[in-house]
Amino acid sequence: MDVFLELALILIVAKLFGYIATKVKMPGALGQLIGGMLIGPSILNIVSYSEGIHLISEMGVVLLLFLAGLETDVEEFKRVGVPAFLIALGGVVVPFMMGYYISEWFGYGRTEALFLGGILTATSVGLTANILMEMKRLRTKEGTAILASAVVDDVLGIIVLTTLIAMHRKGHVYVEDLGTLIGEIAVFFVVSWLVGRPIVKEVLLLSERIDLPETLTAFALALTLIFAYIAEQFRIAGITGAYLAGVLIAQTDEAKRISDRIIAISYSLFVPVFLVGIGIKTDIEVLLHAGAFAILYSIIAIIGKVLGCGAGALIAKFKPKEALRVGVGMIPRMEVALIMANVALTEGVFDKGLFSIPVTMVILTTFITPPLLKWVFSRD
Amino acid sequence: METLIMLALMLAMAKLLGWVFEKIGQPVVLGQILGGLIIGVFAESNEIIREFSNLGVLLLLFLAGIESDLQEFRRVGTPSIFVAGIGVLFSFILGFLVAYPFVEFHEALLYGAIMTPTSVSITVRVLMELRRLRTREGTTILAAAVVDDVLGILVLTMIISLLREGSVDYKTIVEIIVEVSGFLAIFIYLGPVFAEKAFKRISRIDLPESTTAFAVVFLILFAYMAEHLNLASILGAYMVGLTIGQTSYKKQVEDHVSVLGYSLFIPLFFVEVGMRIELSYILHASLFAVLYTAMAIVSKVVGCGFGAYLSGFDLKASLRIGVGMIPRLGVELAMLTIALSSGVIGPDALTIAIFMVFVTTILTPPLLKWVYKR
Repeated sequence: MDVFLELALILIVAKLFGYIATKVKMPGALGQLIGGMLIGPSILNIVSYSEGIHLISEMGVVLLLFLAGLETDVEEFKRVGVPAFLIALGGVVVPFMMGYYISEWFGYGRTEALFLGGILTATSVGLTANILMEMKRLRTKEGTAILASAVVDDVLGIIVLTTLIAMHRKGHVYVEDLGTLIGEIAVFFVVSWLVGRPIVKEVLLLSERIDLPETLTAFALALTLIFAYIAEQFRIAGITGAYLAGVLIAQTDEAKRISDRIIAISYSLFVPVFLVGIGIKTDIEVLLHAGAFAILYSIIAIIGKVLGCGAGALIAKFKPKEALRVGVGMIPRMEVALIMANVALTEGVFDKGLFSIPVTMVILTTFITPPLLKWVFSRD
Repeated sequence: METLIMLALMLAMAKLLGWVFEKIGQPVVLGQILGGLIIGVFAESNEIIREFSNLGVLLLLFLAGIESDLQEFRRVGTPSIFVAGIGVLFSFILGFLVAYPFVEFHEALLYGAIMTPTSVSITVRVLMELRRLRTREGTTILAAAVVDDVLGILVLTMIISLLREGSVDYKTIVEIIVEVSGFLAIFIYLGPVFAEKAFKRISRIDLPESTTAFAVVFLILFAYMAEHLNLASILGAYMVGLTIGQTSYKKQVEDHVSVLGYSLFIPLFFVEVGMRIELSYILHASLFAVLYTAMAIVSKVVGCGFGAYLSGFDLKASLRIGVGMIPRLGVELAMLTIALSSGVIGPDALTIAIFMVFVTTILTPPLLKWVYKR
C-alpha cells in the first residue's frame, strides 16, 4: 500500500507544481520537474522511488513516444518544405557536434559525450508556440517556420536517439560502421512497417468486434508494448518501437479515438509520474560540484540551436533578423531531451551525477527562452 | 521490459477470452479469471503486476461507487444490516460446525471466523456486465458488503485475540466500531459538499487530466485510510466513488477513470486473480476442503438470502442477493496471512481457506448470471 501513497503524493506534486508553473506562464512540465526535485532525496527526501513507480514512469516514456508517433502526420511531413528541413537539420547537427566536442574536451568518455551531444538535438516548441501566440506573432513567417521545423526536428531526434542506443548496445562502433548501423535500423523500420501495418490493421479490426469496454484502447496499449519489446530484442530502443507503433496506428481510421483515450491515460497518471520522477532522480548536490560544466553545457545548448537553426534559415533565404528569431524559438528542450537522458541513465551510460546535467540544461533553456524571444521579436 | 510484455499479454488475454466467454453466454469475468489461470501455468506474477492489479480493483470499486446512488444507499441501510448480519452469523456457525468433526474446538472457531467476510469485487463486475448494479438488489449487496466487512473483521479479531490471549479484547472492538461508523458518517454526510468544492478548485488547474489525476489521488488516500481502520481498502475506494458521484463532476470523472480502468488496470486485476489460483490446490483438495467450501457457499446464500427476505425482498431477489454475497477474496487472505505469521493457525488452514477462495471466485460469476437470467 505504501507504493500507492507514494503515487498519490507524486500526482499531487505534479499537478500542484504544474499549476504554479502555468500561473507564471511556464510549461507545466517545468513545474513537475522542480516539484520532483523538492520531494526527492536531495531536498525533502520523502519518496523512495520504488520499483512500481519506476515501471509507471517507464510506461510514461513509452506512452509519450507512442503519442509522438500518433501525432506524426506523414502528409504534413511531406508538406513542411525545404526551409523547415534546413532549419531542423542545422539545429540537430550543430548542437550535436558542439555538445560532443565540449563534453569530450571537458574529459567525459566517448559514449557519454555522444549522448550529451544527442540530448541537445531535440527541440520542444510548445513553450515558443505559447509565447508567440500571446504576442500574436505565431502566424508570421518565423512562427510558421518554427512549427514546421519542429515536426522534422522530432523525427530527427528519434533517429539520433535510436542510433545512439544501438551504438551503445553494440559496444565499440566506429564512424565507418555508422553507415551499416543506420542501414540496420532502416531495415528494421521498413520490415516492421511492411509486416506491422497489416497486423496492426487486423488487430484493430478485431478489437472493434469485441464488445467489451475500452477494448480498442487496451489493444492499442498491448500493441505498443509488444512493439517496444520486439524493438528491444533487435537491440533497438524500446521507445523507438513504441514510436513506430504510434506511426502505424496513425495510419488507421481509429487513430483519433485511440489518441484521445491514450492522452487521458497518460496525463492522468503515467506522464506526470515520469516528469516528477526525473526531478526525483536529479541529484542537486552533484550540481554544486559539476556546476561549471552544467552551465557551460546549457550555454552550448542555447548557442548551438541559435547558430544551427539560424544558419539553416539563412541558407533558406531568411533575413538575418528573421533567422535569429527562428534560432531563438528553437532553443527550449523538454520531453525528448529528458527521455534521452532517462534512457542514458537506465542504459548505464550516465550515472546520477551526469544525469543531473541535462536536467539543469532543460530547466535553464526553459527559463531563458521567454525573455530572449520577447527581446528578438520586439526589435523592429 | 519483461514486466511490460507480461502486461501486454495479460491485456490481450483478458479481452480475447472475455470476448469468447461473452459469445458463449458466460460472464466475461470468468473468462478473464480462466485466462489468468492459463497464463499462470507458464509464467509467474510479480510484485509490480500485483500492485497494478490492486490499483485495478480500487478503480473498479470506485467506478461502482460513482455509478451508485447515495440516496438509495442510505435507504437500504436496514436491509443491508439484516443481509450482512444474518450472513455472518450463518457462515460463522456453519463454518464452525463443518470443521468441528475434523479439528479441535479452538481451531473450529477460527474456521468459522475465516468463512465470514464477503468480498464483492467479482459480484460488482458481473452486475455491471448485466447492467444490474444500479438496482435495489445491487445497492443492497454493496451496502451489505460494507456492513459485512465490519462484522467479519470484528469476528476475526475476536477469535484471533481469543485464541492468542485467551480472552476477548472488548476495548479494541468498541474502538473499531466507533472509528468505522465515524468514517462512514463523514463520507455520507460531509463528503459530497467537500468533494464539490475540491473539484471546483482542481478544475481550475490548466493542465491536461487534472480532475482524473485527483480522482485517483483521493481514491488512493481513502483506500489507505480505510485500510488503516482495518476496513478493506476497496470499501474506501467505493465510498470515494459514491461521494464524487454526487457532484457535478460525476460524468467527466467517470468517463476518464473508466478509460484508465478498463483499458488497463481492471482487466489486469481479473487476470491476476486467475494467475494466483494454483491448480494443484484444486485438483488435490481433501474431503474437508470440499465440505468446507460447500458450506461457505450455502451459508451465504441461505443466510444473506434469509436476511434479505426478512427485510422485504421477494424470494427471487433474496436468492440473487444471497448469491451475490458468496465470493471471498482479499480480506480473508490478508487476515489469514496475519494469523499464519502470528502462529495462530497452521499452513493447513491456509490451504483450505485458499481452496475455498478459489472455488467461490470461479463459481460466483456463472451462478450469478444464472440466477439473474431466470
